[in-house]
Amino acid sequence: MDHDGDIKCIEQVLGGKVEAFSRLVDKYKDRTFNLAFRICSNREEAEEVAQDAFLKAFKSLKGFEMKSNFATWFYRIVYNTSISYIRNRKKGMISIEDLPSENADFRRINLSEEESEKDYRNALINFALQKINEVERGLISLYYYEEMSTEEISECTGISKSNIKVKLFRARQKMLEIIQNAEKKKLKYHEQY
Amino acid sequence: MNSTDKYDNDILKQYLNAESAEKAPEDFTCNVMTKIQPELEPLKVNGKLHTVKILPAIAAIFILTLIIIAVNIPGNDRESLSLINMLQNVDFSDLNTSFKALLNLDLPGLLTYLCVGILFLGIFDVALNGLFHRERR
Repeated sequence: MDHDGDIKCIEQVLGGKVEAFSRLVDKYKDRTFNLAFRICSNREEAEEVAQDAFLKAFKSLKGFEMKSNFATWFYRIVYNTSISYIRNRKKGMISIEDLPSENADFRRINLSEEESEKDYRNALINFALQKINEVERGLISLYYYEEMSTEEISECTGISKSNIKVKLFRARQKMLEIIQNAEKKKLKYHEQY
Repeated sequence: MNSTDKYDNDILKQYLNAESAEKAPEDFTCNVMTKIQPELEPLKVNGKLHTVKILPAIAAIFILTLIIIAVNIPGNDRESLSLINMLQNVDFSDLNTSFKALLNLDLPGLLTYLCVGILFLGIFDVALNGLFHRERR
Protein backbone atom coordinates (compact mmCIF):
# COMPACT_ATOMS: atom_id res chain seq x y z
CA MET A 1 0.00 0.00 0.00
CA ASP A 2 1.52 3.31 -1.08
CA HIS A 3 0.88 6.83 0.19
CA ASP A 4 -2.40 7.05 -1.75
CA GLY A 5 -3.43 3.71 -0.28
CA ASP A 6 -2.77 5.06 3.22
CA ILE A 7 -4.85 8.16 2.53
CA LYS A 8 -7.68 6.03 1.13
CA CYS A 9 -7.66 3.92 4.30
CA ILE A 10 -7.67 7.01 6.52
CA GLU A 11 -10.60 8.49 4.59
CA GLN A 12 -12.51 5.24 5.01
CA VAL A 13 -11.81 5.17 8.75
CA LEU A 14 -12.92 8.79 9.12
CA GLY A 15 -16.00 7.93 7.07
CA GLY A 16 -16.98 5.34 9.67
CA LYS A 17 -15.37 2.16 8.27
CA VAL A 18 -13.21 1.38 11.28
CA GLU A 19 -12.21 -2.01 9.79
CA ALA A 20 -10.09 -0.12 7.24
CA PHE A 21 -7.73 0.77 10.08
CA SER A 22 -6.71 -2.90 10.31
CA ARG A 23 -5.12 -2.56 6.85
CA LEU A 24 -2.91 0.24 8.18
CA VAL A 25 -2.07 -1.86 11.23
CA ASP A 26 -1.16 -4.82 9.01
CA LYS A 27 1.06 -2.66 6.86
CA TYR A 28 2.96 -0.93 9.66
CA LYS A 29 2.87 -3.48 12.48
CA ASP A 30 6.29 -5.07 11.89
CA ARG A 31 8.12 -1.78 11.43
CA THR A 32 6.32 -0.27 14.42
CA PHE A 33 7.09 -3.26 16.59
CA ASN A 34 10.74 -3.26 15.50
CA LEU A 35 11.17 0.44 16.30
CA ALA A 36 9.48 0.03 19.70
CA PHE A 37 11.52 -3.09 20.41
CA ARG A 38 14.83 -1.42 19.53
CA ILE A 39 14.03 1.49 21.85
CA CYS A 40 12.51 -0.55 24.71
CA SER A 41 14.74 -3.65 24.37
CA ASN A 42 11.91 -5.86 25.59
CA ARG A 43 9.33 -7.77 23.52
CA GLU A 44 6.39 -7.41 25.93
CA GLU A 45 6.99 -3.71 26.42
CA ALA A 46 7.49 -3.21 22.70
CA GLU A 47 4.14 -4.86 21.97
CA GLU A 48 2.42 -2.66 24.54
CA VAL A 49 4.08 0.48 23.17
CA ALA A 50 3.31 -0.44 19.55
CA GLN A 51 -0.36 -1.10 20.36
CA ASP A 52 -0.52 2.14 22.30
CA ALA A 53 0.96 4.01 19.34
CA PHE A 54 -1.70 2.60 16.99
CA LEU A 55 -4.40 3.56 19.48
CA LYS A 56 -3.03 7.11 19.70
CA ALA A 57 -2.86 7.31 15.92
CA PHE A 58 -6.47 6.16 15.65
CA LYS A 59 -7.62 8.79 18.13
CA SER A 60 -5.64 11.55 16.39
CA LEU A 61 -6.60 10.52 12.86
CA LYS A 62 -9.02 13.47 12.58
CA GLY A 63 -6.10 15.85 13.02
CA PHE A 64 -4.01 14.20 10.29
CA GLU A 65 -3.40 16.45 7.30
CA MET A 66 -4.01 14.48 4.12
CA LYS A 67 -1.16 16.25 2.35
CA SER A 68 1.34 14.88 4.88
CA ASN A 69 3.07 11.52 4.76
CA PHE A 70 1.27 9.07 7.02
CA ALA A 71 4.41 7.03 7.71
CA THR A 72 6.37 10.05 8.98
CA TRP A 73 3.38 11.23 11.04
CA PHE A 74 2.90 7.76 12.50
CA TYR A 75 6.59 7.12 13.24
CA ARG A 76 6.60 10.36 15.23
CA ILE A 77 3.85 8.87 17.42
CA VAL A 78 5.71 5.56 17.77
CA TYR A 79 9.01 7.27 18.58
CA ASN A 80 7.46 9.63 21.16
CA THR A 81 5.41 6.85 22.77
CA SER A 82 8.50 4.63 23.08
CA ILE A 83 10.69 7.40 24.51
CA SER A 84 7.98 8.41 27.01
CA TYR A 85 7.56 4.80 28.04
CA ILE A 86 11.29 4.35 28.67
CA ARG A 87 11.54 7.62 30.61
CA ASN A 88 8.57 6.69 32.81
CA ARG A 89 10.07 3.25 33.39
CA LYS A 90 13.39 4.81 34.36
CA LYS A 91 11.66 6.98 36.97
CA GLY A 92 10.37 3.88 38.72
CA MET A 93 13.29 1.51 38.47
CA ILE A 94 16.49 0.70 36.66
CA SER A 95 16.15 -2.24 34.33
CA ILE A 96 18.94 -4.76 34.37
CA GLU A 97 18.97 -4.33 30.60
CA ASP A 98 20.14 -0.76 31.15
CA LEU A 99 23.29 -2.01 32.82
CA PRO A 100 25.06 -4.33 30.40
CA SER A 101 28.44 -5.60 31.47
CA GLU A 102 31.51 -4.07 29.89
CA ASN A 103 33.05 -7.53 29.54
CA ALA A 104 30.03 -9.35 28.20
CA ASP A 105 30.93 -12.60 26.50
CA PHE A 106 28.75 -13.38 23.52
CA ARG A 107 29.75 -17.03 23.51
CA ARG A 108 27.42 -17.33 26.50
CA ILE A 109 24.55 -15.84 24.57
CA ASN A 110 25.27 -18.13 21.67
CA LEU A 111 25.78 -21.20 23.85
CA SER A 112 23.61 -23.66 21.97
CA GLU A 113 25.28 -25.33 19.02
CA GLU A 114 22.08 -25.11 16.97
CA GLU A 115 21.94 -21.36 17.27
CA SER A 116 22.82 -19.83 13.99
CA GLU A 117 25.06 -16.95 13.08
CA LYS A 118 21.92 -14.89 12.66
CA ASP A 119 20.92 -15.41 16.28
CA TYR A 120 24.39 -14.46 17.40
CA ARG A 121 24.24 -11.27 15.37
CA ASN A 122 20.82 -10.38 16.75
CA ALA A 123 22.06 -10.86 20.31
CA LEU A 124 25.08 -8.74 19.54
CA ILE A 125 22.96 -5.95 18.03
CA ASN A 126 20.62 -5.96 21.03
CA PHE A 127 23.56 -5.78 23.38
CA ALA A 128 25.20 -2.95 21.45
CA LEU A 129 21.90 -1.05 21.28
CA GLN A 130 21.54 -1.30 25.05
CA LYS A 131 24.86 0.46 25.44
CA ILE A 132 23.46 3.63 23.89
CA ASN A 133 20.60 5.75 25.25
CA GLU A 134 16.97 5.51 24.13
CA VAL A 135 17.12 8.56 21.84
CA GLU A 136 20.20 7.19 20.06
CA ARG A 137 18.50 3.78 19.77
CA GLY A 138 15.54 5.46 18.12
CA LEU A 139 17.75 7.39 15.71
CA ILE A 140 19.78 4.29 14.80
CA SER A 141 16.59 2.31 14.15
CA LEU A 142 15.03 5.00 11.99
CA TYR A 143 18.28 5.46 10.08
CA TYR A 144 19.14 1.81 9.44
CA TYR A 145 15.89 -0.13 9.56
CA GLU A 146 13.59 2.50 8.08
CA GLU A 147 16.34 3.92 5.89
CA MET A 148 15.20 7.45 6.63
CA SER A 149 17.23 10.52 5.76
CA THR A 150 18.35 12.85 8.55
CA GLU A 151 15.67 15.27 7.33
CA GLU A 152 12.94 12.65 7.73
CA ILE A 153 14.32 11.62 11.12
CA SER A 154 14.27 15.26 12.13
CA GLU A 155 10.57 15.44 11.20
CA CYS A 156 9.85 12.33 13.25
CA THR A 157 11.82 13.20 16.35
CA GLY A 158 11.81 16.98 16.44
CA ILE A 159 15.62 16.94 16.78
CA SER A 160 17.57 19.24 14.47
CA LYS A 161 19.37 17.73 11.48
CA SER A 162 22.82 18.74 12.74
CA ASN A 163 22.11 17.27 16.17
CA ILE A 164 20.90 14.03 14.58
CA LYS A 165 24.16 13.73 12.64
CA VAL A 166 26.19 14.22 15.83
CA LYS A 167 24.09 11.75 17.83
CA LEU A 168 24.16 9.18 15.02
CA PHE A 169 27.91 9.47 14.70
CA ARG A 170 28.45 8.94 18.45
CA ALA A 171 25.98 6.07 18.61
CA ARG A 172 27.62 4.37 15.63
CA GLN A 173 31.07 4.72 17.20
CA LYS A 174 29.90 3.12 20.45
CA MET A 175 28.11 0.30 18.67
CA LEU A 176 30.98 -0.39 16.31
CA GLU A 177 33.41 -0.59 19.20
CA ILE A 178 31.21 -3.15 20.97
CA ILE A 179 30.62 -5.20 17.83
CA GLN A 180 34.28 -5.22 16.84
CA ASN A 181 35.35 -6.25 20.36
CA ALA A 182 32.80 -9.05 20.35
CA GLU A 183 33.93 -10.22 16.93
CA LYS A 184 37.56 -10.31 18.12
CA LYS A 185 36.55 -12.38 21.17
CA LYS A 186 34.60 -14.74 18.95
CA LEU A 187 37.58 -15.14 16.67
CA LYS A 188 39.87 -15.91 19.64
CA TYR A 189 37.33 -18.42 20.93
CA HIS A 190 37.27 -20.26 17.60
CA GLU A 191 41.07 -20.27 17.48
CA GLN A 192 41.28 -21.75 21.01
CA TYR A 193 38.66 -24.47 20.54
CA MET B 1 18.33 9.18 1.77
CA ASN B 2 20.72 11.97 0.80
CA SER B 3 24.11 10.75 -0.37
CA THR B 4 25.78 13.13 2.06
CA ASP B 5 24.00 11.43 4.94
CA LYS B 6 25.38 7.99 4.10
CA TYR B 7 28.38 6.47 5.80
CA ASP B 8 30.87 4.83 3.50
CA ASN B 9 31.54 1.11 4.06
CA ASP B 10 29.04 1.06 6.89
CA ILE B 11 29.69 -2.11 8.91
CA LEU B 12 26.55 -1.56 10.96
CA LYS B 13 24.48 -2.10 7.83
CA GLN B 14 25.52 -5.74 7.91
CA TYR B 15 23.93 -6.03 11.33
CA LEU B 16 21.04 -3.58 11.19
CA ASN B 17 19.01 -4.58 8.17
CA ALA B 18 15.60 -5.99 7.23
CA GLU B 19 16.80 -9.53 8.04
CA SER B 20 17.53 -8.67 11.65
CA ALA B 21 14.33 -6.63 12.08
CA GLU B 22 11.92 -7.96 14.68
CA LYS B 23 8.45 -9.06 13.60
CA ALA B 24 5.24 -8.21 15.45
CA PRO B 25 3.35 -11.12 17.09
CA GLU B 26 0.80 -12.88 14.88
CA ASP B 27 -2.26 -11.66 16.78
CA PHE B 28 -1.01 -8.08 16.87
CA THR B 29 -3.57 -6.60 14.43
CA CYS B 30 -6.40 -8.39 16.21
CA ASN B 31 -5.23 -7.05 19.58
CA VAL B 32 -5.01 -3.49 18.27
CA MET B 33 -8.51 -3.67 16.78
CA THR B 34 -9.82 -5.07 20.08
CA LYS B 35 -8.26 -2.12 21.90
CA ILE B 36 -9.87 0.30 19.46
CA GLN B 37 -13.42 -1.05 19.99
CA PRO B 38 -13.95 0.50 23.48
CA GLU B 39 -12.91 3.85 21.98
CA LEU B 40 -15.82 3.63 19.56
CA GLU B 41 -18.50 2.94 22.21
CA PRO B 42 -18.56 6.42 23.80
CA LEU B 43 -18.76 7.94 20.31
CA LYS B 44 -21.81 5.83 19.48
CA VAL B 45 -23.53 6.59 22.79
CA ASN B 46 -22.77 10.31 22.38
CA GLY B 47 -24.25 10.27 18.90
CA LYS B 48 -27.45 8.63 20.08
CA LEU B 49 -27.71 10.88 23.10
CA HIS B 50 -27.58 13.82 20.73
CA THR B 51 -30.77 12.64 19.02
CA VAL B 52 -32.35 11.80 22.36
CA LYS B 53 -31.78 15.42 23.49
CA ILE B 54 -34.36 16.60 20.92
CA LEU B 55 -37.19 14.96 22.85
CA PRO B 56 -36.76 16.95 26.08
CA ALA B 57 -36.57 20.11 23.96
CA ILE B 58 -39.93 19.22 22.34
CA ALA B 59 -41.37 18.48 25.79
CA ALA B 60 -40.08 21.79 27.14
CA ILE B 61 -41.62 23.72 24.21
CA PHE B 62 -44.92 21.91 24.73
CA ILE B 63 -44.99 22.67 28.45
CA LEU B 64 -44.04 26.28 27.82
CA THR B 65 -46.91 26.59 25.32
CA LEU B 66 -49.32 25.19 27.89
CA ILE B 67 -48.11 27.65 30.52
CA ILE B 68 -48.49 30.61 28.11
CA ILE B 69 -52.02 29.49 27.25
CA ALA B 70 -52.85 29.10 30.94
CA VAL B 71 -51.52 32.55 31.72
CA ASN B 72 -53.32 34.34 28.85
CA ILE B 73 -56.73 32.65 28.72
CA PRO B 74 -59.07 33.59 31.59
CA GLY B 75 -61.36 31.02 33.23
CA ASN B 76 -65.09 30.59 32.46
CA ASP B 77 -66.11 33.07 35.13
CA ARG B 78 -66.76 36.43 33.48
CA GLU B 79 -65.33 38.34 36.39
CA SER B 80 -62.15 36.36 36.48
CA LEU B 81 -58.98 37.81 34.96
CA SER B 82 -56.11 36.26 33.06
CA LEU B 83 -52.76 36.46 34.86
CA ILE B 84 -51.47 38.99 32.31
CA ASN B 85 -54.47 41.27 32.89
CA MET B 86 -54.05 40.93 36.61
CA LEU B 87 -50.39 41.91 36.40
CA GLN B 88 -51.25 44.87 34.20
CA ASN B 89 -53.85 46.04 36.70
CA VAL B 90 -51.50 45.88 39.66
CA ASP B 91 -51.35 49.24 41.41
CA PHE B 92 -48.35 49.29 43.71
CA SER B 93 -49.58 52.52 45.36
CA ASP B 94 -52.68 50.67 46.57
CA LEU B 95 -51.57 47.24 47.74
CA ASN B 96 -55.02 46.46 49.22
CA THR B 97 -56.69 46.70 45.76
CA SER B 98 -53.87 44.69 44.20
CA PHE B 99 -54.49 41.91 46.69
CA LYS B 100 -58.19 41.86 45.74
CA ALA B 101 -57.25 41.56 42.06
CA LEU B 102 -55.13 38.54 42.96
CA LEU B 103 -58.18 36.90 44.48
CA ASN B 104 -60.07 37.39 41.17
CA LEU B 105 -57.56 35.13 39.40
CA ASP B 106 -59.23 31.96 38.15
CA LEU B 107 -56.93 29.48 39.87
CA PRO B 108 -58.94 26.30 39.17
CA GLY B 109 -58.69 26.99 35.39
CA LEU B 110 -54.92 27.54 35.61
CA LEU B 111 -54.48 24.43 37.71
CA THR B 112 -56.19 22.29 35.05
CA TYR B 113 -53.65 23.37 32.47
CA LEU B 114 -50.80 22.79 34.91
CA CYS B 115 -52.04 19.30 35.77
CA VAL B 116 -52.28 18.38 32.06
CA GLY B 117 -48.76 19.78 31.59
CA ILE B 118 -47.38 17.77 34.51
CA LEU B 119 -49.10 14.65 33.14
CA PHE B 120 -47.49 15.13 29.70
CA LEU B 121 -44.15 15.82 31.34
CA GLY B 122 -44.49 12.57 33.27
CA ILE B 123 -45.29 10.62 30.08
CA PHE B 124 -42.29 12.16 28.32
CA ASP B 125 -40.07 11.33 31.28
CA VAL B 126 -41.15 7.68 31.27
CA ALA B 127 -40.65 7.50 27.48
CA LEU B 128 -37.19 9.05 27.68
CA ASN B 129 -36.18 6.80 30.54
CA GLY B 130 -37.16 3.71 28.52
CA LEU B 131 -35.37 5.02 25.42
CA PHE B 132 -32.17 5.84 27.33
CA HIS B 133 -31.97 2.40 28.96
CA ARG B 134 -32.62 0.68 25.62
CA GLU B 135 -29.67 2.59 24.06
CA ARG B 136 -27.43 1.62 26.95
CA ARG B 137 -28.30 -2.03 26.52
